[in-house]
Amino acid sequence: MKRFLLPIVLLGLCLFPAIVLGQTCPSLPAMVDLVLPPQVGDSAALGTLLQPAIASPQLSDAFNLSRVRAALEDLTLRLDSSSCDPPDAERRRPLLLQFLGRFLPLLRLQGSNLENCTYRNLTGSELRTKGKDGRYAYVNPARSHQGTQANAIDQRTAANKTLQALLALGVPQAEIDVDSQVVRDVNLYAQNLGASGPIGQPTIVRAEVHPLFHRRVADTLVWDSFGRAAIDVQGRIARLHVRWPDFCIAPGVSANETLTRQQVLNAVVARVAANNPCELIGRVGARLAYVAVDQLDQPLSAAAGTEDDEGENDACFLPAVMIAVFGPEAAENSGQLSLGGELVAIPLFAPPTNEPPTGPIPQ
Amino acid sequence: MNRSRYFLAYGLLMGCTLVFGYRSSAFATHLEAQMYAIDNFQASGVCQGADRCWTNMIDDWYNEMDDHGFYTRDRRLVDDSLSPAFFCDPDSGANCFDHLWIDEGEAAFIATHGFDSGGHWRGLMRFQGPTNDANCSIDAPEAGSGELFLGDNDLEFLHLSSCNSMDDDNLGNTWRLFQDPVDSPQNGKRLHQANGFHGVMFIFCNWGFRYEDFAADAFAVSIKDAWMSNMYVASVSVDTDGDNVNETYEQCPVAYAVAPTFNECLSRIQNERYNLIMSDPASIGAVCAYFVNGCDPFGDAPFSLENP
Repeated sequence: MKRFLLPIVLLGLCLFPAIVLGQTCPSLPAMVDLVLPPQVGDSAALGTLLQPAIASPQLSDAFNLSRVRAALEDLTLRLDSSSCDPPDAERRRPLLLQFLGRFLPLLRLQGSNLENCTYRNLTGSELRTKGKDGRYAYVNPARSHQGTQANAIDQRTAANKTLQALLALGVPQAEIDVDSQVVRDVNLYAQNLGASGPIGQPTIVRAEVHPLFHRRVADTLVWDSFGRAAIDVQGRIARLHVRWPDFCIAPGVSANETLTRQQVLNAVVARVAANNPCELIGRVGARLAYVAVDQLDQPLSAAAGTEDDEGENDACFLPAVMIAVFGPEAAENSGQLSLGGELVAIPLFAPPTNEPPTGPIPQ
Repeated sequence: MNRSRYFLAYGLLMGCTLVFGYRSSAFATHLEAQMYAIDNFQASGVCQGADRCWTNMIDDWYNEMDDHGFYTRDRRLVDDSLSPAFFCDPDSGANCFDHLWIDEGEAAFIATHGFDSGGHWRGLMRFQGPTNDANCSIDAPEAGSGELFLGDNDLEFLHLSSCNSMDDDNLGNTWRLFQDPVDSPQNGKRLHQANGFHGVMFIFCNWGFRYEDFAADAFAVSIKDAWMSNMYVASVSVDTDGDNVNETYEQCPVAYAVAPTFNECLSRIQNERYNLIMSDPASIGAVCAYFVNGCDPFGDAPFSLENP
């Protein structure tokens, strides 16, 4: 019985504010219930999502500078060794070895690649990598839009260029959601100004094309994983931003710990009502997604195995429900407040205990 | 061919340097970054708003700013007693002290809820102004009104993490916040660039990486490029009506600059970085902006220049 005490207390803490706040915002529970995905509370469906097929190799293993240089058409990008952070194992070595290891790979620990590096080109372009976070940023000032040059690159060509760059970087092809790609034109507007405002005809030019690809695992969006580019007038990549952390499912979580739909609903109501006065809640939206454990509203880092992990599994993912909270829609020019849209990732599994997961989950 | 174009672009940039006179920012370490963010409205008990974790996002910009050897983290004001007094120009009314606060650094973020008020952006404050503002807000100018007149003291780059801060139909007035009609003609000081959003923007406690990358990029490419690439979002695709079909709401960044002439405006918005700062615009004879065409946010129609 003692082992159920902690979960009961946690559940109570979770439910109490929901009950109180739900009474304060009477229409909120129904609003949330309407939009919660049908999989919420369904341990079979969510259990399947805990065992997805994971593509291999993942980005951090597949990253290859030569391929990246070719895809970016920036062949003289060079590693600026002084910009790198040594990995944890390297940091524990004598300082002299660490220093020499930056320049002489033979003196580095085997398998300990430098982290958070910047690669530069004399013309000013740079590629910044944060391998652990799966973040890659390439910017090239020589390819920035200049003057009133018009960009004639069609969106399909721009998207294909971006796709090829992502593949060259090492993004697993199976995870790129081609169907949900978004391609937008970024335009320049310029106009002369008289004493009281713009005068004459504005100049409007299609400056860049911005394709964006999202990530999908087990047919489910991976929240905040994306690759997007800016394609210049010559069809080259002017900028590329990729966030694609290696995919893993947080260990220690099983379908047995699936929260009921009511528990999730209560958690959403409590969270939304805590930040938003009832009269300022206009609309609530929801979707199912894989979310990194450290992005969950109630971090489940403890779910990720032993304490020795030092939070490394915070970068792993779990199915969660993404909630978007909007204020009442303000009429154009009305002077009514437009609330910044709030995004929250609500867990779908109970916080783990240190006890072995046997027996029924207390309701 | 590519090489010759590169040299042409480089030559143009150097030409701009000579013509417009870049500041000697290459070795400057005296530049100041500031952030003003309101996370907790409900606790103030005065101005009604919803709480948001803006600071989680803006802090990453602020911390990145001093990693490049040009800027110091000069001021981080979160919640506190933020009121219109910190942002309104003394020439707009009594008890206005922007010259001691927002208009006292080189680059500044304002992060708060916003309004589309007539033809301008209005930002929600945490407290009312001492005497001159009963509505808890700071108003960007329209013809003959407004409080937010910047750049006449010091500010070069203003970033607004706020809804409706760059609505398409307000761009015809946005230039007005780039100068103080009283002081700027005398001292020649004006704002260089402002960045904001068309329609509703989003706050997610873990989106610091977007703001960090914005800052890091803006030391290597133009502030405009950095803003447009890092602030666009298309992943907020959620079911809001229970039909199990997701509606997508985009986050729509806009970058905006002014200059005496059309060509100088282009040169400024296309080249100015945090570490490549031109002298202040000598006057405002042209405006220019970059936008995501057709970008469709919550709370507004898709971006269209049919609207200004």
